[in-house]
Order: sequence, then C-alpha cells, then structure tokens
Amino acid sequence: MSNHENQEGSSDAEKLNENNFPQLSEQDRDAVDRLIEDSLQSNEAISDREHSILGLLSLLNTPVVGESQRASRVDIIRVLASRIDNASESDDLQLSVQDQKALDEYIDAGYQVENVPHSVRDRAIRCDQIGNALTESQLSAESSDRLIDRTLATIQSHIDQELSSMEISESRRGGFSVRWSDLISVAAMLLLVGSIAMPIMSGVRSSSQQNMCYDNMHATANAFGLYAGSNRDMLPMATAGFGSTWMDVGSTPERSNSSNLFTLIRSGLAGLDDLACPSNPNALTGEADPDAWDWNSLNEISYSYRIMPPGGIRATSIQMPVRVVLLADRSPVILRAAKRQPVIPEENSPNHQGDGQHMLMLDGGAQWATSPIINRQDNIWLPRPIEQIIREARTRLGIIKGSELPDDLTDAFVGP
Amino acid sequence: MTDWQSKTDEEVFLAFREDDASAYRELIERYHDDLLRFLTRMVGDRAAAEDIFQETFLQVHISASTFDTSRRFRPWLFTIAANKARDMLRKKNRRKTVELSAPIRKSEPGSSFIDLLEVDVPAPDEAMDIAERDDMVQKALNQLGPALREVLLLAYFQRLSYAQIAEDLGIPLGTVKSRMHSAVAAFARSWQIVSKESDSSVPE
Repeated sequence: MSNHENQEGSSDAEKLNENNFPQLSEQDRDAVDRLIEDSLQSNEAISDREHSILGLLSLLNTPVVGESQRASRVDIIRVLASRIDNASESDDLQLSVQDQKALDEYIDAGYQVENVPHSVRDRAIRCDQIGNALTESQLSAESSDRLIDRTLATIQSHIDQELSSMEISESRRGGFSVRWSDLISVAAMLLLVGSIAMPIMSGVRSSSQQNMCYDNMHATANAFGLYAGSNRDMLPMATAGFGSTWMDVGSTPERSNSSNLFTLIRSGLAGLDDLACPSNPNALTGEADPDAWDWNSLNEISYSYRIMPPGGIRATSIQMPVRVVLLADRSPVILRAAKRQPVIPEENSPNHQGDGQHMLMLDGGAQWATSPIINRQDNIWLPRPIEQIIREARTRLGIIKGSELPDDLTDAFVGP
Repeated sequence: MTDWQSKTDEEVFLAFREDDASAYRELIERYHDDLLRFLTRMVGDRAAAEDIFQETFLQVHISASTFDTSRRFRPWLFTIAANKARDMLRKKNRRKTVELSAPIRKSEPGSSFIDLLEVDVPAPDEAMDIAERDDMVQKALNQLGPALREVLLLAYFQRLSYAQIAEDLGIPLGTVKSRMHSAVAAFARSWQIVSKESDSSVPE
C-alpha cells in the first residue's frame, strides 16, 4: 500500500467515532487475517468468504496482496465494517407506499386495527403483529418481585447516602481496630445521643428490604444445614484458625472471617444473591467466580458471620441455655472500625437504616431485633471483655444531669 | 390503606411526591412489565435492562420535583428510561457486528421497498415456542441502528401519535414519520433474514 493510500485508509477510519465502530463477525475477521497472511505466500484457492472480502477491499481501493504487510489490519477491518454498516443502515430501505399509508392510519387510529380503513387493514394488521411481537415477551413473576424490591432498596439507599452526606463527618482516629479509648468516649456520648430519624419512605424500606433479608436468612439457614450435614456437623469454615486478624476481607482465609461464610458459596450451597442485602449498594450478586474464596472487600459484605474459633464449631456441640447467633445483618461496629471511626456499641446494622437487624440463630430460626443486645446483656457486635469495659466506663462516667456548665468561654457546650 | 386502583398514574405520582411511600411501590409495580420489556428490547440484555430499570426509577425519584404535573407521567418515565438505555449502550462501547454475507441493500436493485404483505412478520398465533420467538425478535431488532430501534419501541410501547413522539424526541414530525417508516421496514427485513437463518439451521 502506498503512503497515500495508507493515510487515506487511516483518516477514513479516524473520521468514525471509536465507540461507534461496528465490528466484523468473528468468522469474517478470521478470514481477513487468513487473507492477509496467506495471500502473501501463495496463490492457492481462497474461500467464498475471503473472495467477498477481496471484492469489498477492491471497492475501497485498498490492495491486500503485496504491500499490505505495511497496512494496518485494524484500519482495514474498521473501514470495511463501517462501509458495510453504512450500506446496511441506508435509509433507502422503505416501506411500500401502501404500507406507509397503512402504518400512518394505524397510528392515527390509536394503534387499533379495527379503526383502520378497510382498504389498508390487511397491512395494518401486519403493523399490529410487529407491535405485538416487540411488546410481548415473557417475564417471570418471581424475578419481577425481586426487581421491584431491589429498585425500592436502591432508592432507599440513595436517600440514606444523601442523609449521611449531610452529617458532620467525624474526626478520624488512628489504628485499624476497635480502640478502647473510642469505646469509652462513645459510651459517654451514647447517653446523650438520640436517634434523629428522618422517616422518608420508611414504609418502603421496611417492607421490601426486610422481606428480602428474611428470605436470605432462610436460604442461608438451609445452606448451613446442608453444609453441616455433609461436614460432620461442622459450621462452614475455610481455615483452621486466624492469625493476627479476622477482618482483613479478601486477603487470605487466615485473615478473614468472611471467607468462612463464603465457603457456602464456594461449595454451591448458597448463591451470592442469598448473601446480598438489597440495601448494600456494593453487594455482590449474580454468578460467583468459581475461583473466589472470599468477598473482595468489606463493603461487599452484607451479613456478619459468627467469628470462628480455631478448629471451628460443631453445630451440635453447642448446648447452651441461650440462643446463639450465627449470622446477622452486617456489623456497624466493624464498618466503623475499618474506617477508623469511633464505634457506637449499641448501633443497629446499617442494612435497615438503623432500625434493627435480622439474626439467624443456630437452631435455624431467624428473628428481627431492634437492638443488638440479646440474652439480656450480650451485644452481638462485641466480645464479652469489651462489653464489660464499656459497662464499667459508663458506671464511672455517670450521666449528664443537666446542671453541668462549660469549663470556660472556649469550651463549646450547647444545651436544649 | 389507599385504594390506588382508582387513581391515575399522575395522581399516584403526586401522592409519592408528597411522601406517600406506598405510592412509589404502586408506580413501580404498574410499570414493571412494560418498562422492563421496553428496556430489554432496547439494550438486548435482560440483566442490563434490570439495572437501567432501577436507575430509571431512581432518576424519577431524584427529578420528582421537576416533573410538570399537568403532563402525562408515562411518556416522561419512558423518556428517562430511553435516555438511560442510550447512555448505557454508549458506555458499554457496544459495537454492532456486521456479517459480510448480509445483503447490502444498495447493491440490490429493486430491494429498497418492503411490502409487508410479502413478509412473514412474527405473528402471535404462530406455532413457535414463545421463548424462541422472543430471541428471534430480539435478534432482528438488534440489527437496527439505535435511532430506528428507539423510535420503533417508543411508538409501540407507548402507543404514541406521531406528534407525541416528535415532542418526546424533540425532532420534527416529518422526521418521525420517515424514521418510523424506515424502522418498520428495517425490522420486517431483519425479521425475514433472521427467520430464514432459523429455518436453515433446523436439522431436517
């Protein structure tokens, strides 16, 4: 190809927006490749497909044989495909005059065939059939309900994000862990903090998201049962024990408790959808990667799983007088700790706008609770030693009596 | 509990705008089937259509205060959906696949007019599996350019007059008419090709 021709081909290609380029079908692309490679070496018989390409290329005045080694194959294919596409997109294709009249009459008659004049009614019926074919398709009722719930949850999530962006951001504190100092300072704060609820669309969220989470809990309960049934009653686990941390999601099983829960997905007993709360905009859904063994990040996780001790837990080994929580809506404490924010021990899961959380019990029952405190004093987000420290701190700090005064003029302190 | 059945779409939308939560579910349920079919036809993919469905209603929520309540809700909803679908197709860098063996109409004398009576358009009473027909209709539709596909689907799904389509798309009435004529012709031709391919692929 001469320089001039090469430039011509390239500029032709450049004129077309990259995003709008059609592409040749795979078979045709292969044929172009073969043509460019083979025709340089021999004059052996070429296939019909290759013959078509040669014909089209000759229309472009773009020689393939000989100097085409220097030509950009990509440009040739692009220009070729664009020319074909332009030709097939041509507005030359039109309805016959009678059909045009029939279509106009049909549309003017409000898409009612019976109101179309007899002279063109047969043709209008064809127009109507096309419309029916386009507008009628199968939709399953089950997936429809799910989509409606997901849509409502998406809207609610947007509202929540708007609300949270309005909040004054809290100052960051060091350390990627639950800090005792944070807990103690928050413990005092809790005595004053009331819930400032903005009941926007509360009916929407409670009905749709909670229903979906209940469904998820039941599906996961079944998966737990199946797993235990074929694993000597053991609860799902991916590792024999943790190293220095269990909240490093997506790293290695030894550093991530969620990989234990993900075992249900990896083993095919549960799907990603079963472990995705609709209020979590980052939740993974759909088909799981067969090689995955954990979620990629904390944000993708919708439910918090009981921390597995070394060696795991045999479901039947727990004989307790109290109910044991296996799974719950995601922990707000872990989310805050990961963001290095002060944690609020009694905070409810963000999954349901702080209204409460679902809990799946070891006995397979699921329940909705408006507080993370169960069995009288057990906070499901925290281990017992931390709960004890908080209790002691609160006892020491007491409560605001309403008689305290600012320390001095520089001490900001506002009242009712 | 509100009796939504007796309310128009616009009345339900107004109730939603005044923070009646149940009104929004009602709106979504009312339009679920139609809008999802429309979007699936537009983008050719059910999963993507579901994503756009959610985005559309989110946009309705965000733009609720801007809606002129003297107008009809349905065209507004479908216009938002069509815009979202167009954006998605653009983002996906979706490219049309062309086959060299496809007829290039310019080179076929006498083939520039379609006569619908000579084309076996997809009829509902045909003895064809519904899912199979759905696939074929989608395949035929995918061969149309975005502009033709959009006008065809907006017209049929909303049963709009030419004047209404012109207003929604912001293009002259004459252009709407000729684009609609082209779209029906292109779909009929495309259906012809797809159904021939399907016939030839059936083992004898």
